[in-house]
Amino acid sequence: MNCTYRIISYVIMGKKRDLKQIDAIARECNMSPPVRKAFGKFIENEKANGDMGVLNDKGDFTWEELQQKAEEFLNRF
Amino acid sequence: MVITSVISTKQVIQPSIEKIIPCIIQPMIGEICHQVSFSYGDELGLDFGEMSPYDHPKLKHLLKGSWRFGARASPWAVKHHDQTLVVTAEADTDEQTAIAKEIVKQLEHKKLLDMTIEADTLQLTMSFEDSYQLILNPELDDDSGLACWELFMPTEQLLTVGPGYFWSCTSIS
Repeated sequence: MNCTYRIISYVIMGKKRDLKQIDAIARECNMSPPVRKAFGKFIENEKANGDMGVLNDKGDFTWEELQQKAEEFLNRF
Repeated sequence: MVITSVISTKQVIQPSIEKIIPCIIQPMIGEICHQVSFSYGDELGLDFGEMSPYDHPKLKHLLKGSWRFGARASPWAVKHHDQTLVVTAEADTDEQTAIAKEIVKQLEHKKLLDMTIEADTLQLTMSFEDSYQLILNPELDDDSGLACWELFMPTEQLLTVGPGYFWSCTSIS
């Protein structure tokens, strides 16, 4: 997998930021649209199972955490 | 890969989008909304049609529909008998978001009766049985680059509307 670091504009907040990050990682990892959709579900499922990120108190994920999650997600496909 | 797309000015697309999009999604009319769910970023998702488990081992306990609608980051509202039950916004608090998520669950197990799009505003109205409506109000001046909404279809195609007046229907097989 070739997930390179990418800077996301943090001017965009909240939901849009989260969706843009998922989309950006999906592009970096060459995920097809259905796989990208499943990845968004996977991330939400991880949070629901208590595997939270450290970005904020809602358990959202940092870019680096999302990269690791993408690797785990794709490796188990 | 077959891609149909339109990038155009409002004047050119205006007479067509409100006719073309309903034609593409016509086969979904009459389907039951089996599931209302949310993915990362609080994206609202509605699953219609035949339900099947995800392929991924960690998602096998979750189901997805043969028709999968995603609202992306567009604000949405739910109406019942023309009464507004909830309106969402990007700046909603966690508590407001939690309440909205509960309310929109009322659409589960309801049959989709109609789906219309307004050419000027790109407002999408999904009408369900028992006089429920889900209304998306895309922010046309939004510069996030995110689509207004998307629809995964059983034909292995992805219909995407937005950002702005751009739309595409793409083969994803």
